Amino acid sequence: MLRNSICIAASLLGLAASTAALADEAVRIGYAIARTGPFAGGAQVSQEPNYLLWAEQVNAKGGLMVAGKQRKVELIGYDDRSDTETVVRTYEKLMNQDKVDLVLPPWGTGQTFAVATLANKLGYPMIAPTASSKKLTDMKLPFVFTILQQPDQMMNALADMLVAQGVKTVAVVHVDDLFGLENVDALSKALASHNIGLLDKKSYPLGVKDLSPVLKAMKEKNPDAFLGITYPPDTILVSKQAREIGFNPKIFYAAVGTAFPLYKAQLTGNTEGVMGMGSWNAKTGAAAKDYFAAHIAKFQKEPDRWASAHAYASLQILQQAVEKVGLDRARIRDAIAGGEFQTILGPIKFKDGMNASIPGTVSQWQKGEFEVVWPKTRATATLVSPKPAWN
Amino acid sequence: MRFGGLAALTDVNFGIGPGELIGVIGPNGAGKTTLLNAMTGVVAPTGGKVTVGDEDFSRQPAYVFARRGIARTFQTPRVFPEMSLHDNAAFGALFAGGDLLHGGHAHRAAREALDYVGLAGEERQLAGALPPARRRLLEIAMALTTRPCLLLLDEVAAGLSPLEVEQMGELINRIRTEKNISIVWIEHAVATLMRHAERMLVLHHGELIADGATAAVRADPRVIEAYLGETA
Amino acid sequence: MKDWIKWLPLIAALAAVPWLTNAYMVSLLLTCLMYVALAVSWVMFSGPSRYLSLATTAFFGIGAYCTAWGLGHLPWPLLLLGGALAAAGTAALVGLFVLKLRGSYFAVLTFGLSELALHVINQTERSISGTVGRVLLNPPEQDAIYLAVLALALAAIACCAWLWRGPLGHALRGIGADEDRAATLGVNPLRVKLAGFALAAAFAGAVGAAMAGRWTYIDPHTVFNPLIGFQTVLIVMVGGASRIQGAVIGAVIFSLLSEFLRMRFPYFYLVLLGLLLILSVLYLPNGLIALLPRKKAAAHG
Repeated sequence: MLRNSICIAASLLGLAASTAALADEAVRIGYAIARTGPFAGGAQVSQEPNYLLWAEQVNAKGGLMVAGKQRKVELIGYDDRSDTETVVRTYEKLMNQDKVDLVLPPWGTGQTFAVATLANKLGYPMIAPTASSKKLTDMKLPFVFTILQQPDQMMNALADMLVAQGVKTVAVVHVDDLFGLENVDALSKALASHNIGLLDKKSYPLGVKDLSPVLKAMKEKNPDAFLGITYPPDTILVSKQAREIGFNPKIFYAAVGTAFPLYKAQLTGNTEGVMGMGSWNAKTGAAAKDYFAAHIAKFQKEPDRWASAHAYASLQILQQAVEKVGLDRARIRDAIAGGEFQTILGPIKFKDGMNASIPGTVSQWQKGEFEVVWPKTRATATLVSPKPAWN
Repeated sequence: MRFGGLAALTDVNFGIGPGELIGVIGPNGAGKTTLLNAMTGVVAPTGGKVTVGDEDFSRQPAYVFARRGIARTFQTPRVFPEMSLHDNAAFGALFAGGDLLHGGHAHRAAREALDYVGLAGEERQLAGALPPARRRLLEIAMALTTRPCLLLLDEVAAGLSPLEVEQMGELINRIRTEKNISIVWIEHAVATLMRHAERMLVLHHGELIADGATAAVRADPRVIEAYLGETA
Repeated sequence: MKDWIKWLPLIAALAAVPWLTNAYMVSLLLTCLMYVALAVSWVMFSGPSRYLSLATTAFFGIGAYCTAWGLGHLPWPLLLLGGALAAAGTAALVGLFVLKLRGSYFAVLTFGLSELALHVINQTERSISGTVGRVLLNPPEQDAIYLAVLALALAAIACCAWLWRGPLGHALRGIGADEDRAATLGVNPLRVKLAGFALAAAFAGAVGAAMAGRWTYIDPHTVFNPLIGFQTVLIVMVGGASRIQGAVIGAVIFSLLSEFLRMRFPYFYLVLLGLLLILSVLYLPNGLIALLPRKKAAAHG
């Protein structure tokens, strides 16, 4: 038994050593992300494709400029099987054993949490594109940054938009995990401060298969707005089921996944007027348009209109920081914390580890495009209200 | 005792005294095995009563019967095939024979019982490797280590050669006389049974049609008509 | 019994690992040891009794939540004990109902147990703290977790050996072979199964309580990960359920092999792992353990 395990451990070691020798000149950037398991859906839409796209683009231009010398980027990416212990173990390997130059974050809030303290302890800067939690930002880890808008930003923007549309009453359904609860918490406070009536609030477990009873009860109450703090599968579910029962309030909002191209494909011709979490599209700027085209060229599919661009922007920031200060990770951290960076989402700087440049946003499907409609400073189109009837 | 709508046993009343050797006969389907199941808690009776000493055992589970000293064998021997003969025999000693806290006693009881039934020297063999006839002996050893006061035997002579049947009869007689254990013995081989048992019960269609001294039962016209007439 | 003395050097070497290698090696061995403890805890009950339990995830998660709730209030070693007791208590309570069922019914219900525990904890968390998910602010050091899991793996092995040698193991084997027959020989099946199930659960609970310290952030979906339970059963299938060594070898080989394949073939490793599993089930139905020479039947006496 012992001999077997030593043999395999030894071959693992040997493997690590050989990759290290091969890639002497390249800047090695490691990460673990879900390619299998429940997180793979989100991770493979919003995150890993952008890592691959960015590395390809950087290398096509000759590489990353490090201390006046161009070096190729070598990505070392592993599947984390959506398993937290595997995430932790893999980053330990990347940082302690492979001693990669930089790391990129895993997918989602929970997995980011699991490696955040580790990265912070070992001094690896990390800009998380799909982590959204007050609990994480409250830890104030100096090496950990979030680039996605956080729950209170998104919910305050939503509430402001509702006020502007003259909404008086809402019904809320939310997933009962950390994301759902933090958002609903922020939303409830914002609604209360604007005196918007909360007619009904229902939670549902992750992986729910039927929400029509909840939606029927909400239809009875006839709210001005329906707000779903939902994940991609549930976002599609509530949209389809609301259509089936003819629940068509003035505002129909479903959080995560409305920004996915998948949403348009699933709702075939029924997206018009639906709102959700989104922050950009190809009209946001020239750089965004280039990114949009490059994404389609490489993957034959459109990027989603929320986290994808944030993921890509986080890599641009990392790149600019490295080109400024080299591969000293403590100096990279300081550069990120103190600088302002040009990205596909416009200029970005950080405050208290959070994206201080992009406010909370609301997007809306209009004629087959997910347009940013709130706030006006980020808008790519004018808001349409009330929502047209389902087909 | 009922299975679905069919009464397997009706109106079967009898008692067993200490040290008795009672034979039970009856054609196939007469309810012999059902009777043993009811007497060991394997199947709870739907009506009627099973008493042990002064206690009502009608609703007791099988293990309580076993711990109270009622042991049995099965028509098709049910031994633990992946355990050694020794472990099979020790099983009852541990859980019904009161040796749970004294493992050493269970080992001794197992060795003695295997020796007693004629399986000495095969302790380490797996029970699954044993030929069927010897599995019957092992089952008797398993029953003996539970320190029973009543032993219920379900066709232990079936499939044995005439010589083996004779040896089985002697073994059962010895258990009764040397260990003072009451025995209820179900068997198809009526002649063998009548040679050893002093009292006979005759079941027919779930009813007890005769209960008495072997000689009297042999001469009972109802028994001759219902059963003996056809076979003996 | 003298047997274990010859393992002392190996145990000492394992205990010294944190001072000899880097954090990744420690963490890789930690994964091996975690699955050794889980697999041995699984075979402890399910091996002899042949009750296929998919509840490992549930017990692991319950233990993890003990750490999530108690860290900062109680000393960590006490939380491991708490995790063990909470998991054992749950097993005993749930066992009263599910252990009356056999075969696939039992397997399905034990699988449902982790879903049930997940939702119960979710509801409890929401009603108490208004949110789910807990941040562990001062988690134990990695080396402490490693040593704790090493101790738990060794304790599981020792407990399993002790259990299988004694009457409870004997009774569980009897139940596995022929439950009704065991009852006619004086075994109270429900009680024996409850004891075995709860004892096995205690180890899974303690392992969960130990591992939770690694993750900074605990929420129900992280700790009630079905992968953990499935992998435990797979390990025993690969290693063999008839001897403790089967679970140990299975856990070590499976953990190292899946890590090796995951690193070497990041996109195809699941296919390779699946193929290896199918081959092992086809050609080694009794597990890797069948390859080891068996000592002369180590029965009683």
